[in-house]
Amino acid sequence: MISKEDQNNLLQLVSRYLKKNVTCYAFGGNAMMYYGYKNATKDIDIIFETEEERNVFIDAIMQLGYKQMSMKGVYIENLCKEKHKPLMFTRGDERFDLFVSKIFQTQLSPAMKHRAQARHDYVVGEYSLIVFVLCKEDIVFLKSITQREKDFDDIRTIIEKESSFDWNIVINEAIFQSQHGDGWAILDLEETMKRLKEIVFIKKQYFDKLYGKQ
Amino acid sequence: MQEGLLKKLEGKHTLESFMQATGLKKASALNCIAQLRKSGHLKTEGGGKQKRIYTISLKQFIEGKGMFTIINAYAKNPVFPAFQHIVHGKYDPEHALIDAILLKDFRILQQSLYIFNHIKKWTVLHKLAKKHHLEPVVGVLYDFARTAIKTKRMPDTMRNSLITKRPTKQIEIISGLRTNDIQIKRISDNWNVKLPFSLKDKEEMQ
Repeated sequence: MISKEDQNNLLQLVSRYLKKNVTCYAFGGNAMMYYGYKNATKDIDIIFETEEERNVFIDAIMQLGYKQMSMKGVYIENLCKEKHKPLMFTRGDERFDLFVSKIFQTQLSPAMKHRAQARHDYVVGEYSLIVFVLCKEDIVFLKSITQREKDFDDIRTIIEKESSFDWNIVINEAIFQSQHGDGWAILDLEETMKRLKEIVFIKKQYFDKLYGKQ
Repeated sequence: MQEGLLKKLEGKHTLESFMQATGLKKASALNCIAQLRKSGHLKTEGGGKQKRIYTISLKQFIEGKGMFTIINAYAKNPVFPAFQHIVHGKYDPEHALIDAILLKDFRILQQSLYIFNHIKKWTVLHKLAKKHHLEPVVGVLYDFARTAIKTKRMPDTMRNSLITKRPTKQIEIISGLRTNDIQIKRISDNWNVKLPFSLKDKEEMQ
């Protein structure tokens, strides 16, 4: 497990070893830590816009002793065959899941980038590491399509701690993704929303909107 | 701290309302407040002559230095952050000024001009301007800021260096915005950079 402070210290250290400026987006449990929803996470999920930026980042973490690891045992077998699967690196308890432009079938959409609610700059050495943190709605959307139990718990944490949560953003993003190649986005979101409905109140109109697009 | 207690206490409190909500005596309540602050769930406003108001949240408050904290420390009218910006590492007013220019937001740019009165490392500002190809923009904003507010004096060597980077084709800082004032237009023409400020904006700053 990695704590919020550990994450900041680690990324600060990584930024020292960068050979170029790197911009990336945080979207998993680490993104939740940036917003104060949780204190620790298993892995650091990051998505880069270009392969080049990911390679610069990988060079830096390899210098710190991180080794590439297999996806097996972490993600289900179907996902391991995906074209846009992550490269995973580990050292001790810490793990980086590094994606480029797509998280399996789901793309980092322009709207997602625009909605990013936080920016953390790590500037220690010559080059900087800029981490944009996707907004809470996008974190929930991305977690809802992964179908892992711990992701559902994370969604629950966000919904319960957040007084202002806009389901329209989540649904619109699912519709956008389904129109751009992610055939499962709407179905997965519907399943998550149905489970969530047992715990929190979700207006019928959101389900109607989702069913209208199915 | 138990989540149930946090849920019950979420919102704003004075010491008295906190004591009432928790049923604790003053010393215990202060102890509890200190614990909540340490865990990042409580923020304090006021103090001194003002009554302290405690904001309690289920989420942890994230604090740190960033562009908005620096701009708002010097601004006449603080801006509401459009997003959370936190820098881990070295970040000075010079960096905040350059980031504000790059953001291309009118209000943020306007309020960031007050930073010119707090620049200590002109060489750092010069280097950053060079790095982001913003030399004429920094120059024109400095000249404009000097007509509107009190600023520190830019070293002549830096100013001379900046003016050599005057573009041949006029550039815009924020697209679509231009000035209606002759004096501001003259500064714009000097640097060949369109200033987005009107006379009213300038008066607002004074």
